[in-house]
Amino acid sequence: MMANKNWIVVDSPILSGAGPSFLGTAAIMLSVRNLSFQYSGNTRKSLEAVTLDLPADTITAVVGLSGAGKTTLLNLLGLLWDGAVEAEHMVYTDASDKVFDYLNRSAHRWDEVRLREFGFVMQSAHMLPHFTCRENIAMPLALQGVPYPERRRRVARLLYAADPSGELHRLRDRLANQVSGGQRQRMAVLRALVHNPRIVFADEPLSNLDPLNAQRTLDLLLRWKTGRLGARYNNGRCLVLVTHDVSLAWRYADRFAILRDGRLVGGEVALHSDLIPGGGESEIRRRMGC
Amino acid sequence: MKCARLQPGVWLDRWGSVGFLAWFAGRNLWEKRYRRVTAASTISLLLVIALPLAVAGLVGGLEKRSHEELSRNRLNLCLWVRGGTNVVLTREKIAEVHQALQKTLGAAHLLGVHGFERTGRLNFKKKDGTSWWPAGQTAVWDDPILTDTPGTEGLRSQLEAATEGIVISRSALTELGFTAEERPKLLRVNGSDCRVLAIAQHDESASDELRDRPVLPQRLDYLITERLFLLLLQGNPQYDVVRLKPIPADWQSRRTNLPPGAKKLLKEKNVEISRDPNPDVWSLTQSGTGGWWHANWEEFVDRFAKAMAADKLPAPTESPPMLILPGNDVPPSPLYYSHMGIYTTDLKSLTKAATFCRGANLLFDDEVVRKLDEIGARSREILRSLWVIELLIGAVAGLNLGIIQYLRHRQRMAEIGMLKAMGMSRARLGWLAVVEGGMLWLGGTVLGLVGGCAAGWLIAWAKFGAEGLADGFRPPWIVFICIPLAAGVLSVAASLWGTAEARNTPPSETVHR
Repeated sequence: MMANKNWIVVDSPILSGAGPSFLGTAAIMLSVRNLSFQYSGNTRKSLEAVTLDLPADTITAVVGLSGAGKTTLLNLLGLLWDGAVEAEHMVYTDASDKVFDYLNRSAHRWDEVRLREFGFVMQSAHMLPHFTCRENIAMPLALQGVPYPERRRRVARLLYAADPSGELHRLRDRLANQVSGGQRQRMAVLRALVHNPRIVFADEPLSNLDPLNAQRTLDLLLRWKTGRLGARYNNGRCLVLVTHDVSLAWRYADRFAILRDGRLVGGEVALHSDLIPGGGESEIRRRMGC
Repeated sequence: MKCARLQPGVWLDRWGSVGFLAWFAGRNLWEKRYRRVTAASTISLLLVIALPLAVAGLVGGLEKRSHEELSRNRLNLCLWVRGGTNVVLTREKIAEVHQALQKTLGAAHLLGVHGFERTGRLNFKKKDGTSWWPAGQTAVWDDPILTDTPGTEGLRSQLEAATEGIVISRSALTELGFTAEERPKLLRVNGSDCRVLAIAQHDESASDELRDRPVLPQRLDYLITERLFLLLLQGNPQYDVVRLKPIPADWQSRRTNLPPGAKKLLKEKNVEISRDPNPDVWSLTQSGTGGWWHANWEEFVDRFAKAMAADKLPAPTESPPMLILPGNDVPPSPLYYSHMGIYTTDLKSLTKAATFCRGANLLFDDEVVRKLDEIGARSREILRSLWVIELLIGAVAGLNLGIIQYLRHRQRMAEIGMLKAMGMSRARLGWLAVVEGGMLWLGGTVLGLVGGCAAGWLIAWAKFGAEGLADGFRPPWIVFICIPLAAGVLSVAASLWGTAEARNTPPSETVHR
């Protein structure tokens, strides 16, 4: 499989050997210090004193057991939560170095930030069933006010780039509920990527998929991250992958936010080099508390 | 906050946004799984709009029947007093008034024969200069009839036999406290000793006289104005078609008090028009003879009628049937009369006369009036019921729409959450709800107006017949405009209410389902 070979060779920091040294100089896109969060009605904090940075051109895996706070962290980082959060510092820096302070919710149009800067892939595709696949993929562009011909052109280009065999392109005019689950999830990934966001948050995007479709879906995300999906690559990209699949995380991620009872194990994000001495995957599992 | 990257936002392309919202809302409403509830919402709004239209058809049919009733009693004259319709006279009544006038004029002639002189208005004095009344006192013309004056006993009985009727202005009656039920009966009495026919332009002294006359209930309630007289003069009840010649708008400004046509005819008759110091009073003198015009009254009326018949007067619908005096604003609906006269008076002066009429128990039953009253009562009852039902249907429709929108959005919560995650703002979701409500409203309004008009027309047609159904039709604007507007507000409000939860739920609570 050509695509598979591509991402194995190019994207794996282990094989390329560029991981840790490169990460040390990357621009920080999202920076969080001492983030704590507690759902109303809960006696225990879901997140406590989480500190992490999301540098550009990295894949950060958020791993942990169920209830460890993975999805909560993604919600807070992805601005999907409307309420107040408790943190010492929590900012997003866009491509023009404009800083958005998460703690000052009234200062910015956060929906605009999500619309232009972020992309989301969830466990379920959440495609609009009464719209065609093409319309679903183009939805972020439509929300941005991109004219219809331009939307159509960009979606067609993306579909071809994502699947040169033309399989996805042939499905473009089918309703979203008329394609298979794997195809739907790939369409959902394309929807998250079509507007060329800087950060993509993926919450268990592969857990409902068979291995082949999981591989194809992941391939799309990795190709996007390295700028090989047709869109321009000029602003740095970051993939935040929430998963409980340690093997997957170990193979593709550069950085590991290992959560245990709402806290980052070790107090910070781990790099490959931190985990290799402990055995890599087994070290992650150990830290997770498996 | 303005950010270079974020500045070219969604709302920059406003029309694109509107188009996007319309497209999105249309797709949402027409989604296969929700088509039935969309149809149900549209139907509920349709009912809100169609029901009053259908009932309007029924009420319109009732009005038509009312019009037919009135047409059977051809209304030839409608008197208009200070902005209100005061009295309508049927053809028969016109004839009675006309005859009464002729008798009156005959009485006046008798007065002349007996040595009295018409000095203006309808006052008389003896030709030899001695007044019938105490020196310096003026009285309206009916006073001599009622006054026991030595030497006039025979005259009095003749005059009493020659006089009949008063018509009092409707608005005057309202001011004087007559109820709505009493008014038409009072105005339409017949077959009694005391007939209420003409309007009084009355002054205090005459009212005092009326009040003190025990003979009145049996004989005389007759007071009439010069101007009404002139109007009656133009109509000849012996003909089937009684028409008034159109009255020029500047008729009043000419200050002649004579309607067009009359002046020409009087000129033919070598009758001079002279004016009393009182601008409302006029007198006619035949040149050369020195005689009063009423000496040749019958001939005058005959000639005048023939001249009018030869004039090829325009059809009543083409001729402005009324003259609106200063202070009168809205004329009564022309549905109920073919001709209109104008009459102004000082309502205060009518107080005592009206009190008298009321005291005389002049409320006689009249079949036509009773029918009209029944129709009116039925119409009012239907309209009252309509508004109650309309409110109920509106409330049910609003609730239905709100619940449907709520359930629809509740089911789509995950999709909406994903849209919000993608960057659809809460405000835009609100606008989407407004557009969805607006689309449902538009569908309901178009179908409701078409269906309601058809239903109303069919009801009126089935119940009251097709003939003349469109005559005098006035679109029920309150139904055409106000109710659709209210339905639109209801629809949008219900839609906003129904989608509030979906709008306000953060995406984090839905997208991970």
